[in-house]
Amino acid sequence: MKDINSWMRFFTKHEIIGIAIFVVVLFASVVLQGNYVNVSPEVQFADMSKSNLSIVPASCPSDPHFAGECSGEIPPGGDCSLNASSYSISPGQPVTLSWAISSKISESDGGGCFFRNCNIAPVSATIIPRIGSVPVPNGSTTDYPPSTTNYIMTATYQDGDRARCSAIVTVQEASLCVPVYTCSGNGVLNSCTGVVTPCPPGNPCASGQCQSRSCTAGYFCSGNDLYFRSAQCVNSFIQACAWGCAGSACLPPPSPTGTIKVNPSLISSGRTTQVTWSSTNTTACTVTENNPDINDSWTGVSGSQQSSEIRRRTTYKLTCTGVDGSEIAATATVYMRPIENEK
Amino acid sequence: MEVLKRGLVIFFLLGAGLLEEGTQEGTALLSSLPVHNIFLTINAGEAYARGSLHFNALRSRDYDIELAQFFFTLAEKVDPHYPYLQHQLARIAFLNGDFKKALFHIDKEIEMCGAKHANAFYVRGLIRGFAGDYERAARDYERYLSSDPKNWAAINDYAWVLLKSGRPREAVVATAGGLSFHPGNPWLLNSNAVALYEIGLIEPALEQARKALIESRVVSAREWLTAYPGNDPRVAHDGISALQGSIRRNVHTLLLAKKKDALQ
Repeated sequence: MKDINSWMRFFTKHEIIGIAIFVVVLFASVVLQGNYVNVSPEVQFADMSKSNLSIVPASCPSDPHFAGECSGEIPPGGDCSLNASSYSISPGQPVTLSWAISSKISESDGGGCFFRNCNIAPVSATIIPRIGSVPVPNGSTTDYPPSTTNYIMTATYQDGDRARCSAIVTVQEASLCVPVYTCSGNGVLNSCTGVVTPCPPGNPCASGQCQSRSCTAGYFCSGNDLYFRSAQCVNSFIQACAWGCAGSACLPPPSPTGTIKVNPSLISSGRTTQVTWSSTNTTACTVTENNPDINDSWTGVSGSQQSSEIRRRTTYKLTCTGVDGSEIAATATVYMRPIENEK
Repeated sequence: MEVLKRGLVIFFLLGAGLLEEGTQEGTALLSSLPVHNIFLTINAGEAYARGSLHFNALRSRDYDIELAQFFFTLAEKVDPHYPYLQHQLARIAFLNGDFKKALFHIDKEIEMCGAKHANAFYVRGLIRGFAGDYERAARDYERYLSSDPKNWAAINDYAWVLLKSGRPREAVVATAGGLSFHPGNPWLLNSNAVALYEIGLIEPALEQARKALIESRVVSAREWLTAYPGNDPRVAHDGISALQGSIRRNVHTLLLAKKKDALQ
């Protein structure tokens, strides 16, 4: 009783009732706590463009320890193998494809993995082209590919993760005659068979091929200009690249450079020096110094200025902003000639 | 005495397994106390490591953003200059929707370590983008991309703020460059489609949007969580659905635009 009275004095009556109610309410929330999910503003965020289309930003490089994961391919989470009975066959020959998909440890199953088996099995798999759905986790099937085929298997796991693997089967030409294709009328002549295959209307023959109206859509360079070619072979001009065009993209801006010199670099107290600086691939530069007695400061991507009278060691610093957005800096120091040398 | 009472309440809550409420109370108490009142010997590195453990979206069993914030706040009390600490606090504030606080922390990180930690500029670009400051966000993204020019997410987000700033042609060039490294990336394909449409190229925009939709259908939870680190692993499927929904709406809008264009 005495001990209880001691504790009663430690907390007031209202505080004890308050804590008890607080605990009862929060104890009930423990049941619901497992269902609390933190939904950040980025999860369903899409910003609207001026023409009312949705733009979806990502945030991969925000993690300071894994920023580089978005500079390369994202590796699939699972593991599989797809093998062919032969990787080079003659036309009309069969090939047997066999596969095995291993279970994986889930790393993003939504929680609760600690309390149950974390081995996640594959639930489905498909092989394209020509095959379609296949049984999991392993099996085999036979196909008669008409031409060289890249079989790609995609397996899906219980947690939604995927595994990808592939096998290329080359179908060799059976004929001993190596055909030469030339145009004959509006058709393609096979020199081995002598057969002329007419081109579809609207698709003229040129260089031994029917000119297809179907193109692979994508970007290409013409000189320093970037174009987009549609699947209908229509070319659209995009932009004249400021720094050249290569492959299928404009080249990025070059890195900046900068140098600064002082002449002379060894002076007597009270003398001046000539500060000269230059830079390449920059948009703006400033020159400052660390001498509290003077106030030299200049701007310009290059220049030459006479300093103020200097009476102590002074370092001039060039700071420039590159056309690629980066910053560079360079320094040059003026030293004081010792006084005894002047005597 | 008041501090002791609050400490006992927190201890009781933690002991009763009410970790979330305990950590909220704990974080608030830590923020209000000067360092010398803390009776535990805290190592900033250990606290930072614990915070990072609970802030990894690819470790679902350990993910707990409030616990992460608790440990990062602890580390800040001991050593506010610990590398990447302000960066992580900025990310947590951003994920909690507090852009002003996020900007405060990331500005500190850049002031201390900007030249070495280039992705601090990326985070600031992201925060400024969400806050509507698109021009300055673009400069931050340019700064980051000068050190990591193949990063698809940075290219994608750079295109986003370029589009919002009325610079669609530059957005086309940026995303085209990104697609040369990541040809099947649905985010880049979608942003490229939007940019092409903005400069009046409906057919190419529709082609890219269709490709984006096909590619978005094979985005896994792990891939999404890699694209959005720090998010609760349990929202990955919601995020994927939202991505697919946005792209699907774009395809429909472009189809309508194409039909309207054909009629004119």
